[in-house]
Amino acid sequence: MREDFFLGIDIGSVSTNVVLIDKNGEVIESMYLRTQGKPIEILQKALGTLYEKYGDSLRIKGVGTTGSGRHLASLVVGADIVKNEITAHAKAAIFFVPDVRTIIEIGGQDSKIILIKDRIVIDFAMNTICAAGTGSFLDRQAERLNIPIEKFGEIAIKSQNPVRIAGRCAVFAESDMIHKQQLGHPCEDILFGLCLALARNYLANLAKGKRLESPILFQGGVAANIAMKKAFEQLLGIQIIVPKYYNVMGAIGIALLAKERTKGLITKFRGFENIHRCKFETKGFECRDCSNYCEVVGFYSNGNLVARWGDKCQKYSSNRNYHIENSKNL
Amino acid sequence: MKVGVPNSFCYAGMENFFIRVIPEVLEDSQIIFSGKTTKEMVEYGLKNGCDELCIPAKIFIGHVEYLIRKKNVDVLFLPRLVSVLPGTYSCPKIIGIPDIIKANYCEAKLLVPEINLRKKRKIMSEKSMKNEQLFDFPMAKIAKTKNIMVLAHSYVIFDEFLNKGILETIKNAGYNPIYPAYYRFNSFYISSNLPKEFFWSSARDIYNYFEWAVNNTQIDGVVYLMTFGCGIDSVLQELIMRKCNKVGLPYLCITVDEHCADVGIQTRIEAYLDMIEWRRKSDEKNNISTYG
Repeated sequence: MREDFFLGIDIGSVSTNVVLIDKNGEVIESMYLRTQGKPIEILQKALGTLYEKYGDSLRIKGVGTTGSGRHLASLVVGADIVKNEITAHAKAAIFFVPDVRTIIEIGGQDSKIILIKDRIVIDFAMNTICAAGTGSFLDRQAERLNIPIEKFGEIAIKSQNPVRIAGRCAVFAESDMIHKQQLGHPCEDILFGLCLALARNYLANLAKGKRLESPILFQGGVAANIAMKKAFEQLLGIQIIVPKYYNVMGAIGIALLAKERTKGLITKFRGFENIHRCKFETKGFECRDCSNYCEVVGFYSNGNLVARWGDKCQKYSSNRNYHIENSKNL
Repeated sequence: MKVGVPNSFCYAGMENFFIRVIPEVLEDSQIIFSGKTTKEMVEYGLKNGCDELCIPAKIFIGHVEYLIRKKNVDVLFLPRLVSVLPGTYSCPKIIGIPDIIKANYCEAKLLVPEINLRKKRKIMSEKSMKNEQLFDFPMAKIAKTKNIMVLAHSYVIFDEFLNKGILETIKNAGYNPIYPAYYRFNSFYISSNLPKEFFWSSARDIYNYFEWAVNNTQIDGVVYLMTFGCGIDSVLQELIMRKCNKVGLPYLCITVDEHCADVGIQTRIEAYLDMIEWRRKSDEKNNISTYG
């Protein structure tokens, strides 16, 4: 049976997520893949897998892209909507839990807090330059202690007596952890101590001056860590909900936004086969025409220049949103 | 004689003043402005500035180095702006910037007259200061609706490198950015409701504009562009945030620093504008204000 589907793509620093929803917003397929520094390849592969599984019965009516790689992804697939991840996350959270008041979202590189009232975002904050308290830091520490990141939460949650670790700065936290480990504290106490430190850091940096009302949703890749959930619950004294699709909420949100946007319109989606067949390339160079030394990037599809960006004077891109507006002409 | 004037940081917007004053002080002079901030200047500045300085001051050092290295100026004209508004002082970094330059570039010739309007005393040519303003920035045009107030020091607002194109982004999204401009506001100067007036002239300019705009214009939101390492901003930002929360205005604080990738800033500003749009639509639907 041919049905209408919508595609949501979220390209983050660590993971690339693709979801397929039907016209009622039901999630048909969700994929969580590591970006590994090659967003285009991973995206092509993911779409290829989808096509193999469903074939021609997939009729895509709308596509949306979000995440830090959203502009690049929109060029590859021909997106109907390109939106920032904050809006996308809020959209998905409201869809699943209509009376949600607070969203805690921790990803690979960013952490965000979003406050919602009457189904409307009223305030948000994002971490500044510091990456202490995000997924990549947990990743690194797990690697150092030789623990697979998937097992991190399981081990940490057993802790009876968590140690105190300074979460202000990732570098100091690490030296604190090493110190505690040399004193002979058990691994689970150190791990849970780290979770508490990160949760404290999050609340002090992002939630400062804001009131966190329940229901609170915890989403993003780090929500897989049950110890982080416990740490937040301990500090806030409120139950926290981890939604079923916590790790692909951004992609679901953008798929829902694409569904809204394409109502009665024809999608700009380029089709699975086209995307699979195309060879995408990016080439960069440093422009030396003036003392700004802009790093200009060109995007090529099958060897043809499609878009350029990165130049301050817009000599190459000629229009600030050139690459977005022209993605439909690929 | 080639007279170099770095027109960034505290001297931004003073171009007309310099054009008037310098020929009076120095005969046969050719004025050379450093112009817009470029990446080259930023690199010079980051290399030579100490870590205590705020980012605009570091970039200022870059402007000076550019004038010395690339333009071969004979003398640098750097008035010491002790006070530019009666009853206030300039930021200590502004007062001390000629000394910082002197310490960094020992062999450069500097001309450092003093401008001090604190007690309306000025040690400079009397003629050119008469009835004339120091700063000359274009005032923002205020639209009837869909205004977004961008608050920052004038040297941030009028520097494309420092503001990371935020004004453009706001314009492209269909909103009208309004912003304070140093000293121009004095023509309709109102004193604020603060228990004690600000000590620094720039803070007074920004805060008074904020209060005036909240009471007299239709604004949809407030964006504060904070520069990393600015002491004045850290106090002012907090004050304005609390005031915004009180009156229920959407508020966003963006800290600008040395990083040149503006993606993170674009994401925040896009999300912020989405939030305002979302609120507006719901207000239209329900006729009930969701603010606050």
